[in-house]
Amino acid sequence: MKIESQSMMKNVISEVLETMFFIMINFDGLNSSHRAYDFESRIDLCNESEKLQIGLCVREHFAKMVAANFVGKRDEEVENEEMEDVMKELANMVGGNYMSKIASKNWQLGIPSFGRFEGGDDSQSTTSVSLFYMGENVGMLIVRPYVVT
Amino acid sequence: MSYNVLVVDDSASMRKVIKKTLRISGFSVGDCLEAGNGREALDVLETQWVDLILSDIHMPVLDGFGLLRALREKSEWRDLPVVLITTESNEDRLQEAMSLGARGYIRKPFRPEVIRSYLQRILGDTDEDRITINDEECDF
Repeated sequence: MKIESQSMMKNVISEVLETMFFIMINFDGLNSSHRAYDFESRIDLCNESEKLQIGLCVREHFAKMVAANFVGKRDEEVENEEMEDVMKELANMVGGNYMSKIASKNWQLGIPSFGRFEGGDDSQSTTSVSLFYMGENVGMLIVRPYVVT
Repeated sequence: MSYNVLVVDDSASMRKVIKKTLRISGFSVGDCLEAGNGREALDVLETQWVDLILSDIHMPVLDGFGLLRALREKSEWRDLPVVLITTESNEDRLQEAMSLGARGYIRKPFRPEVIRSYLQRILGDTDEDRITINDEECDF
């Protein structure tokens, strides 16, 4: 189940980053310490009984590059507010794309958020894939399931 | 003929990308206006001539559904073509949007090259059935 989830996560993030951000990432390499990530964008998917939280944890320079590619600027021209807006939109697209691939219906997409990466995601129910760009571990995509009570 | 387009999305970056995509796709754009939500879009429509609205669904203040309902209530806006550009994939919600008058929808992420032909189909054939787009369905 986890391998299937990871495969789907890889397809989702690749499709979004390649289509709208012109960035090709891969998933093979040496993982950095989680403390190397600077920011996280999050978005929730909910239905009547479940919630999935999708987190996109990234290093700052990768977030800047993502934003620069999206709006057509140089990395150094990207302002923090712009980077935040783009990273939230990225989470929105990753969440929507992920939702479209889940077999079960009636999921609703939440509002994306963005902030400093706080770490601490080692629970067994969490599924993650590490993101590599030009050989460097630039981020991680995480799916955290919750039970709605 | 150039079309005045109103882009409605709560993300300033996404509005910028959509505007840029419209221009580089070769779609004939006159004025390209912006609004951050449905309420702002209605304010723009009060004073500006618009031929086409490209709107997100999930927005604060007044979302895409609210915008569609508001457009239906005013005779001068009722026939204004609205194409949704959205991450929404729930088929029931998308069909609800179509029943409220949306002419079609484009799912994010989208490839820039599909925009022009899709919008030309929307604007060029009022008798055509409602159109959806994903890359597999688009002919070039």
